[in-house]
Amino acid sequence: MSTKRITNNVKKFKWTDELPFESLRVVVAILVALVVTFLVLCFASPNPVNDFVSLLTYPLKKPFYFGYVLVKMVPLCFAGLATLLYFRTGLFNLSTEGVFYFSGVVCTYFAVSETFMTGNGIIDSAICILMAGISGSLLAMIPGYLKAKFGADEMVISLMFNSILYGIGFWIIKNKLAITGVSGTSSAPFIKSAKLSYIIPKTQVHSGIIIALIMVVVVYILLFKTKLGYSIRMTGLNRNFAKYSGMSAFGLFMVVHIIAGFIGGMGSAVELLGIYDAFTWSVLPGLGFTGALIANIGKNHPIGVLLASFGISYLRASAQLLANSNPVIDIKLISIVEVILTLLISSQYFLRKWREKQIVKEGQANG
Amino acid sequence: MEDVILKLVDITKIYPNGTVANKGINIELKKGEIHSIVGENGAGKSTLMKIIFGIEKQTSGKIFYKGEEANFKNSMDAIDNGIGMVHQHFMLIPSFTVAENIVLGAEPKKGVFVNRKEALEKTKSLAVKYNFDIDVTKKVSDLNVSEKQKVEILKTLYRDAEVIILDEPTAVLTPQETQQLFEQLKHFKETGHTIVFISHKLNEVLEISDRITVIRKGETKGTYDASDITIEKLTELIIGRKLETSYDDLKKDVENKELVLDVRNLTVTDNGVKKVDNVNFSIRSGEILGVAGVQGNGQEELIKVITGLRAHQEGSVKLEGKVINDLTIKGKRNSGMSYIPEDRMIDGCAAQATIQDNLISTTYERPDLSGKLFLNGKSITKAAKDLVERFSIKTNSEKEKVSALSGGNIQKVVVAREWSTKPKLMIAEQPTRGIDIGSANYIHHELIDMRNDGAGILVVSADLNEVLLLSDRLIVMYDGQVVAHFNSVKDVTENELGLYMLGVKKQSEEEIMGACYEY
Repeated sequence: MSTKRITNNVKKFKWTDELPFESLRVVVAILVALVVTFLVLCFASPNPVNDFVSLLTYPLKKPFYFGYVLVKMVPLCFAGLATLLYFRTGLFNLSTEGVFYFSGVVCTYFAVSETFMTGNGIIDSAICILMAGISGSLLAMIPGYLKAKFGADEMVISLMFNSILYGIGFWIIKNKLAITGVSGTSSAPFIKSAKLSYIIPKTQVHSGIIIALIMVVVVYILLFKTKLGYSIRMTGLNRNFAKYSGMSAFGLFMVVHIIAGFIGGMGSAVELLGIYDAFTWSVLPGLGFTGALIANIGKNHPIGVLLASFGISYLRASAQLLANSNPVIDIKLISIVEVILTLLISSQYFLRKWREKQIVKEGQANG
Repeated sequence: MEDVILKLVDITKIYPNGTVANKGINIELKKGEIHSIVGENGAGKSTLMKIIFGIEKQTSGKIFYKGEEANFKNSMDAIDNGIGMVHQHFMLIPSFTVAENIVLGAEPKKGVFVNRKEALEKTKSLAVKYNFDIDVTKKVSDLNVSEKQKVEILKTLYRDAEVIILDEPTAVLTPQETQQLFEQLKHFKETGHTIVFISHKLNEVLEISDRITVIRKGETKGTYDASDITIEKLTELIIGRKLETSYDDLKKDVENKELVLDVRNLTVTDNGVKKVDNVNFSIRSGEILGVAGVQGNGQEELIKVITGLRAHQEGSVKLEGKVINDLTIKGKRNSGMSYIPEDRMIDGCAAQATIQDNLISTTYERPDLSGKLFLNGKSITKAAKDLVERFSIKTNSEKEKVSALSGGNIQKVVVAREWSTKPKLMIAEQPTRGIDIGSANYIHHELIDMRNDGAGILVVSADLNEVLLLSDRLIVMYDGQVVAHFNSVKDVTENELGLYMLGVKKQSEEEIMGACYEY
C-alpha cells in the first residue's frame, strides 16, 4: 500500500491537469484581453505602443499611484466576496449593488450624527461598519426569503430590488441627511472620528484594506473549513443532492443572504469612510455589479477574488490616472479587458479543444 | 463476401477526456441476420453504435457499408443510407399521433402542407406489412411502453432501414412483450433486414441471435454462433471470470428479527391520479424485500414518499415502531434510514465535488467528523480514505472529482456513503442500473452483508433478475397497487412475475396482505 501511495505522489506534472489547466486558461485569457486592448489602441492612439506600456506600468511609477490601486481594490474585493457566496450556493443574485448603496446611506446616518459618534476612531468606525453590515443583512434577507420560501427568481428580484433601494436611499440622503441650504446630492460631512485612518504614508491606503484581507480569509475558512461552507458548496453544485442528503435549502438560503448582505454592507461603509468625506453617490455606484464580474474572473474562490479585484483595480486605476494627461485612454477602455476576461474565463469551452487534443495524443501514445 | 452488409475494421475511439472506448474493433454483419453485441456497461457498445449511426466519429479505423467505405456525417446521413436505430430512451413526440411520429422528418407532401391522408395510409399499410398490431391514429402519449417501441421500429422501417440497431429493447418490456418483439424480429430477418441487438439479458441474446459478438473493455472478444455457445461461456467472456448465479450461500440466518419498516395504506395522488394505491408491506431486520414491476407503476412515488423527497399524503410509515410520516429527510436519516437513489447523477452525487465531499454528505455532522462550526478535516479525509479502500473505489486520490470516475465507481461512492451511516433500513432503488457486472456484483455482496448484519433492505429494480437474486421476499406492483406477494422467491419464475407485472393476474387480498407482518 505504501509503495502505491508513493508512485501516486510522483505523478508527472501535466498542463492538462485541473489546476495547471485552469491557471493556464486565466493567463491566456489575460494575454488575449491585453492584445485586444492593444489593437484598440492602435486604432485610437497616434502612439499605441507608448500608451499601451504606460497603461501597464503607470501605477508602478509612484507610491501614491500604487496606493490608488490598492484603495480602488477594496470595494471590489468586498463586492466580489459577497457575490461569490451567492454564486457558490447556486444563486444568481445581484442585489449587492442595491445593498452597497443603501448600506452606505445607513453608514452615513451614523457617521454624520454627533449622538452616535464617541470621538474614538476605532469605536466610531466600527459602529458605522457594523451598522452598515447589519442593514446589508436585513436588506438581503428580503430577496433571500422570497427565494427560499416561494422560489422566486433571485435575479429578477434582486435587480428590481436594487432600483427600489436606490430610490429610497437617494430620498433619505436628499431629505434627511443633507445639510440644509446646500444644493446637490451630498450628505452632511462625516465626523472625523468615523473615518478610517491612512496606514501607508504618502498614499491614500486606509485601514479598510486590512479589513478586506481579513474578510478574504474569513470567507475562505467559511467556505472550506466549516459545516456551513460545506453545505453551501454542495447545494451550489447539485441542489438535488443536497436535499437528498438531508440539508435544508430554506435555512441555508437565509444564512447565505444574511452573510453576503453583511459583507456587502461592510464593503460599502469601508469604501465611504475610507476615501469619501460625505455621501456623494447620486447614482448606483456600480460596485455590486462589478462584484459579479470579480467573482466570475476569480472563479468563485476567495483567493481568486482577491487576485481578480487587484488586477481589475490595477487597470482601472491606471486608466483613471492616465485620463488626466492622455486624451486617448479612458476608463471605458478597461471595460474591453473586463468583458473579454469574463467571457473567456467563464466560458467552459475556451481552450478545451486544445486540452482534449493533448489528452487524446497522450492516450494514443500510451495505447 | 457478398452477404456482408456492414463491416467494421479496426475501429478505435478515444474520447476527448482520455477514455479509450473502443480499441481495434472488428465486426462483420451479414445481411439478414440477427447479430447481438454483448458486453458490460462501459465496455464500449454504445460508443460503437454511435459510430455506426454517425453520432460519433471514430478516432481511427474504417467502416464498410455494402462493400464501400462509408463515413456517415451524422445520423441523418446514416438514416438516408438505410441504417435505423431504436434508442433505449424513446425519441417520440407525445402529443403527436403514431402516424405523425412515424412520418416526422420525411412527411408525404401536398404542396407545402403535410398530406395527412397519405401519411395515414402509408403508415397503416406499413403496420400491416410487418404485422404490427397498432392503431396509427392514437396519440403516442396514450400508448404503453411496448407500443411506443413499436412506433420507434416502424419509424426506422418507414425510412427503409436495412440495418436496424436495437439498444436494449427488452429492458423496458415484460417477458410476454419480449416474446412478441422476438416474433417480429424473426419476421424482419425473413424480409432481409439485418438486426443489431444489444442486450444485457444473455438468455434472450442466446434465444434470438444468429451470431453474437462479445466486447470487453473496448475490444472484441470474438464472434460466436449462438448455437455453439452457452450462457456460462458468454458470461465468462463478458466479464473475464466466472460469476455466481445464486446468493443463497451468502445469506445467513439472522436471529431476533424485529420489525424495521411498516407501511400501511400508503396512497399517493398526483393530479387526481392514484400513483400509489393503498400499499401495505413490512420489512424485518435481516431481510431483503424486493419490489418488482414495470417502471412507472408507482415504485418511484412509493420510494419518494418513504424517503421524504415527496410530501406524505395518506397512510402511515413506521420505522422501528415510530411513525415517520412527516419527518424531514434529515429526520428520517437520523432515525436510521439510508437511501441509494434511482439516479446517481441527479440525486446521488455532486459530480463536480471531490470524492471525499461526496462521501460525507450524510455524515458530516457526526461528532467525529465535525464540531459545532468547523469540519474536522483530518478525520474526514481518514474516513473517506477508509471508505475508498473498503469499497475498492478505483481512484488515485479521494480528492479527485467524482465526475472523473466510471459509472460503477460513482455508484460505489453512493453505496459506500449510505453504508457508512450503518442504517437499520436501507432503501436501494435500482442499485446497479447501468453499471458493469463486476461493480454490480460487488454492490450485491455489500447489500447481502448488510442484511446479514441485521439491516432491513428494500430493493426496487427494473431488472427482474436482480430482484430475484437478492430478495428474501418479493412484492409486485402494478398500476400503483401491490398485486402479488411471495414469501420466498425460490420457485418464482420470471414468466409468472411477468403476468403479475402486466396486470393479467392478481393475488387475493389475503395473499397480498401477507406482505405485512402482524404484531
